[in-house]
Amino acid sequence: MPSFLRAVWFRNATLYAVLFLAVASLAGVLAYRNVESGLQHAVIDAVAVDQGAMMAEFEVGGLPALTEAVTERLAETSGVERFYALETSRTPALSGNIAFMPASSVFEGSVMPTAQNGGTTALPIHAIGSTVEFAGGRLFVGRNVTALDTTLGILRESFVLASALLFLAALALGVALGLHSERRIRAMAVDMRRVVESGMKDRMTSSRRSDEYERLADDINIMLDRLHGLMEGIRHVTTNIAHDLRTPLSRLRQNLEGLQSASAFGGRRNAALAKCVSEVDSVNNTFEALLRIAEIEDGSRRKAFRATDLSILAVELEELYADFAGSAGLKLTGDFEYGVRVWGDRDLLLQMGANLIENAIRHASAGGVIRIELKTSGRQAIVSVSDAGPGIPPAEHDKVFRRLYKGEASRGGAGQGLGLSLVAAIADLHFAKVKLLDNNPGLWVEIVLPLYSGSENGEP
Amino acid sequence: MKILLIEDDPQTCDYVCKGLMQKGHVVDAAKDGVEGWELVSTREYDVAIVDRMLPGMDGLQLIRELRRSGSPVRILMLTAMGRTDDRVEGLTSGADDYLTKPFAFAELMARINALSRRSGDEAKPLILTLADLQLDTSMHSVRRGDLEIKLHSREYQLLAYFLRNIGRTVTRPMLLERVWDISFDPKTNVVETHVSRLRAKVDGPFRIKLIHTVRGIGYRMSLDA
Repeated sequence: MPSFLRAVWFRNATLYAVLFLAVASLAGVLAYRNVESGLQHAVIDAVAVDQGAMMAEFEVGGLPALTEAVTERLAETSGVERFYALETSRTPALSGNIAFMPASSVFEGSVMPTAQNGGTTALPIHAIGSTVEFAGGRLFVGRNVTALDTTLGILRESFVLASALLFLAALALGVALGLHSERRIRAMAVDMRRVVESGMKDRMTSSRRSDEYERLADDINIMLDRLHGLMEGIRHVTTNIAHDLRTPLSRLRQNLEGLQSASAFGGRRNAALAKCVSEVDSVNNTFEALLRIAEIEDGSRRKAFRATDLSILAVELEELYADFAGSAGLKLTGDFEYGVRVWGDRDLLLQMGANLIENAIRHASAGGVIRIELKTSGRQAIVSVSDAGPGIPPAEHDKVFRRLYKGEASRGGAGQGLGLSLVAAIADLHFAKVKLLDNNPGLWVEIVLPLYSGSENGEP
Repeated sequence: MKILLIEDDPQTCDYVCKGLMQKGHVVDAAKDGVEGWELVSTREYDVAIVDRMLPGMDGLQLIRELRRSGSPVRILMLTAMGRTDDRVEGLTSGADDYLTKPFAFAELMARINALSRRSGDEAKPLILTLADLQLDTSMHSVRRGDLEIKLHSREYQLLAYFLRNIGRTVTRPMLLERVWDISFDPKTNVVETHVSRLRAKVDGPFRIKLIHTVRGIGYRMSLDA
């Protein structure tokens, strides 16, 4: 089977053309029937008028008058345009210009003209007429309709021709449009292959026409951006995991080799072992945090959501960290609105707050103030943690949420580069937004959560 | 204590068994759920340590069966699955405590000790005492000798937890779970700060110190250092 027979464009074009033909044929048949019946009725009406006049003469003058009327009309009739037949019980039984008396009262069919009346032909002629009965006989009046038949024949041919033209036009148009779509789609397919070959770096080309193909290409580009972002993220995380693990693993190896050499014993041996354990713990912590983020990102914890009072959590966090911040030479102050409820997971919201506060404590300069605030605005709860530390340069704002990302300022520091990723994942789970703002100086982190709407059995 | 360990990984099993025996406990070990079930349903144990993923009979299923049969044994569940859902599932199925692999042996030991203690919890004393320190749970008051000590509510809960575990080592994660209801591990020394504040109030002015640091593990409340 040729490949174009399977193509959507070809099947559609054929289907449309056939449908077009069906509709055109139906319309043609209806129009033809209308014209045909109109013309036939005109003949029937003329016959009825003629017959009515003759019967009026019969009413007045009886059978002789009717016979005369028939004779008169036969004399006026040239050739075989009109047909008259009078049948009476007297002789001759049948007078007129046809050989047989049609039986039905309304007649449509062939009549046989009699030879004596201009009898040039003995062929039957298509006629329409009507027979009436009166006391003592029957009268038939008819008209030759072969001219009408010719007209209708021309009309039929015209309709068939028009339908055929329409079919061909529809088919041609369908094929043209289909081929056009096919060309655009093939071009897009070529584009996509190019994008795949470029490792998702290239983008679909713009055709400058703002049609649906263009919009599709735009949407594909948006999807590609997201895909590329995710792929970059994975590549980034993989590289960073490898990099982050190399340091503790190589230290672990050094310590173990030191122990293997047997020169270590007693206190030194114990110290080396303790170092090994702490390196293993550090590796384990990184993995645990990564797993936790993955667990949060898969969204299944939303099932355990319930109405949670953020104000209580804020108080708990302030209480938990106030002294610790104090011992680091910092001041932790809280300003909370009461009874602020959201739909969420207490443990995770607590951890989100703890991460933000620990970040602030870790980065704030001594003597600084860390402010925790909780307020509402419209249908939203706004949690903010601000410090007066070095802050995060705006250029890094997007990157700090990436897994294992360490900003220039904290490179080589104690952080795992997972704290803010976890915050972002928890916020995302709660349909919340994280904003990083400048505290002049320092960092101002704002989490905007939808307020709990009050229905106990569903999400807000 | 008589302890049953149901663990399919031979290395972990060996390590935990040896450690528990060194601490003077009697230990039986089972390699799978079926063997574990036979042992626990025919002999009496104080504590059963059950790995969550077991061949034969799943750890979770084994715990449910045990609880259905009315067994009073204290159960500590071990798992490599650290998801919070798993933890909740383990605890609701009837486990008394839950520990994620990899764990420090000291952490396991501390939790087993706390578990064995809890079996006697039925008769909770109203007044918890150690030497001249008294905590009255009905009055919510704390005295040492003749001196009344004013504590914040969290300090009070912390002290009550210490007093319920006199002589036993309690770890940082245990304190976070039981006193603050926090299941994640803050990377900072918040617990240390709170304990030192409590110490300042309870031990500070007195010659005999009652709250002791167990290096690298946690704390122990006792009369002797």
